Amino acid sequence: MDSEAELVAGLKSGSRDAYREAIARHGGAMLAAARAIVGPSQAEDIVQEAWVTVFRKVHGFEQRASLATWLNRIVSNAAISHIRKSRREVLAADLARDEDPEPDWFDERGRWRSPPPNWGASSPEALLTASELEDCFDKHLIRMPERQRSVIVMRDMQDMPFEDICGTLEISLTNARVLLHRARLRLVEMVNHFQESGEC
Amino acid sequence: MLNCREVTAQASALLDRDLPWSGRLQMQIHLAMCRHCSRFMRQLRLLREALRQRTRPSGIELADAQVQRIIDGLPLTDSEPQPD
Repeated sequence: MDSEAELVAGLKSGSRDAYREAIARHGGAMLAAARAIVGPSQAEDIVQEAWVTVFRKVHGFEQRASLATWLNRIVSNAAISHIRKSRREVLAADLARDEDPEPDWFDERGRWRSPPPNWGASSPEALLTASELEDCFDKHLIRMPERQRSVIVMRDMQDMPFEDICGTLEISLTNARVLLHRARLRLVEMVNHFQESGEC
Repeated sequence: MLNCREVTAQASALLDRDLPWSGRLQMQIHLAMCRHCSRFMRQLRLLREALRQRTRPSGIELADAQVQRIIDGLPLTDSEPQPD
């Protein structure tokens, strides 16, 4: 199936070959999206669930967006819905896990102890040129406390409005902002460490 | 007058345009005078843009067995091709 239109037509007709091709072509990206939101242990189940949704909904897919975009939306929604369902009452222990110690960057008067390291990159493309750094992003995203990861993925990778993030995760706007800032600081520290040591 | 620690703590809010004008003004005054905080602010912005532009979906490719598992979980009606 050369074109996306043919592939979509195949999916609509329930063709096994079309599903095999679509899953081989887009399944990796869907798994990456699911991992970023729910972590590695449950990501495969989320992708499986997403493909069942694709099977049910593909007849209504009008190709206003690309197939990749549509599939990403479906898997992200499945992952987000999973988080919502499995969300427990926030216990003190959960909050503590989200509480990162503030980076020790400042002296007692609140001034930088030493300048932030020079990243040597002036564009996002340049920053991501090193494939090791790209892998490092994945590792650190996966290791992040769940709510920090959810907020930074939804806000900075999927460009969701704060209102939707708060509704999905059932957290206040203040909490969402705090979690986002902590998640960003973790990644800044990760890049700093990578720039200084070349290691993740 | 904000110190560097306070500016850093509010850097995300500035990036997300969540500060009132007075807060923005205080931040801008500090950033205009402090090259360390100014560098930190640039890095935070760069990081956000890099996350937005990540096009390589982690280079993950599903193994044939993973693809097969997903297909097996779908209620497809056409049959698997039989080996000759």
